[in-house]
Amino acid sequence: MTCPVTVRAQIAVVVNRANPIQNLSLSDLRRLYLGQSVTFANGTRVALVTYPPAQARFYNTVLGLSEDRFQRHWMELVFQGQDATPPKAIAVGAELNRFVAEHPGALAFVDLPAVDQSVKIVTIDGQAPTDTGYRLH
Amino acid sequence: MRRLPGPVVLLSLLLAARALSAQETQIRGFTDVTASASDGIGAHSTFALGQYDLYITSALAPKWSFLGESVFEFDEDFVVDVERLIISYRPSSHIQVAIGKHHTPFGYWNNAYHHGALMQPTIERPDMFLFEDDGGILPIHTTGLLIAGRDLTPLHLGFDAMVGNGIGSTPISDNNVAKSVTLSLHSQVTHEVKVGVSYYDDRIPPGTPQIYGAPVDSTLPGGDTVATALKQQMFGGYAVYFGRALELMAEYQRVTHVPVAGGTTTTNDAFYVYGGYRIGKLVPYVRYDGLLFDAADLYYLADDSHLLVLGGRYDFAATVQVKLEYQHRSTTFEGKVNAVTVQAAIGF
Repeated sequence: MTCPVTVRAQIAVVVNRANPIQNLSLSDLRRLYLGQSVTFANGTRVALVTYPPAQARFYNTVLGLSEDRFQRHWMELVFQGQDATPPKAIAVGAELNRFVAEHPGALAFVDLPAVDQSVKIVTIDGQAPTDTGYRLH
Repeated sequence: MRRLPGPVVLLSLLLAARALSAQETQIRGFTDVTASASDGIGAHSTFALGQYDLYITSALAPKWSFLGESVFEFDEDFVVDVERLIISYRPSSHIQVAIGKHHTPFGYWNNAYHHGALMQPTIERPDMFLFEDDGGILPIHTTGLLIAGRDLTPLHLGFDAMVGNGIGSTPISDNNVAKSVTLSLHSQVTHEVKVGVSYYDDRIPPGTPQIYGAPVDSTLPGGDTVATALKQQMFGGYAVYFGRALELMAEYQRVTHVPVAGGTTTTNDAFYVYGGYRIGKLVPYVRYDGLLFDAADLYYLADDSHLLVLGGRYDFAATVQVKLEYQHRSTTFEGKVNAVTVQAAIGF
């Protein structure tokens, strides 16, 4: 008798191919998705994208938040009048890739198998999704 | 505070929203309902509508934005207060120049939490940050010009510098020549830790009503007015931590009053500490507030207050929350009062 094994895809963090950034620290990724920073290190304004099929795992792993707490956090930021644009949710991988490819400041997370050649995967703390020590899954 | 008829403001908001539908404009709101019981003098169990809070944000043009917040609440009749009205210009992603009516940029709570009860960790604001209408001792709102910076340098520093109408003034006119000045410096040290310090300076002119140093529900006699001009200086700081489960906040302000014509300088202290621990959707919490006054103060009627809050909040969803609290307050003038309050708060 064999037991079913659930394999969760790695979550890739992607940006526009023209974006010179190659790596983000986990700390920077957290600040960006919490609206505490609104630009990349090179000054480019960030346009955040979320991917609902993987967002519960991403919020929990990266931010330590549930989906409700993440939504509440962004309600608070908007209510405070902070200069932060709430993330845009795109649930279809192909549409997400297209959005990132068309927006120079886009920052998105998506299941690794859904990534195509039109976008660029950035490493997190120097780790690529295929590396053993990669923490986003 | 000047108040507008509720239907007029509501109609204005709706018409404004229609007119601005071609640009990026959002209208959202918050409200809450409470039920409470207290053993205070003359108190009895009661249900109460909370503030009905509507706010609008609008991207007016590149770099220009608007935020408006209007609250409907009962004060002999339902009235509307314009709580925030802010026109902002952002020359960069890190700098904001804003004019209008703001929450005065001192402390953490006063700028993180506004009038929506859903957002704040406890049912009521800490005593030191109670709204002016509710007997608060600090200038929570200021109408004026704000210059602010965010996420500057690798230390993620921020600053606020504000000049505005001071204590005793209204949103449409100041009551003296002197303007209030607020300066603050803060840092989002990590995504979980924020610290800051602030300074506030103003003149309180003769004729400004004295205020009780603690929120009062009974029929204590009204105070007199300030007989001589006072210089008010306020120094404070805070540290907050919001982790995966643990929540900690601590804030302190020292308020000094100096008679301009000479006399005794008085100092007054206000603080709170808060701790909560998240277990799934439930957060049990405790908060302790203190207001400690100089008996010789000429602006505050020295009603020292200590408040212990034990409670819990449960998040049914991002937009629906219920809080239950036991509150034990001890004040100089009213003695000890116990209360139990439950609040249902929503956002829409």
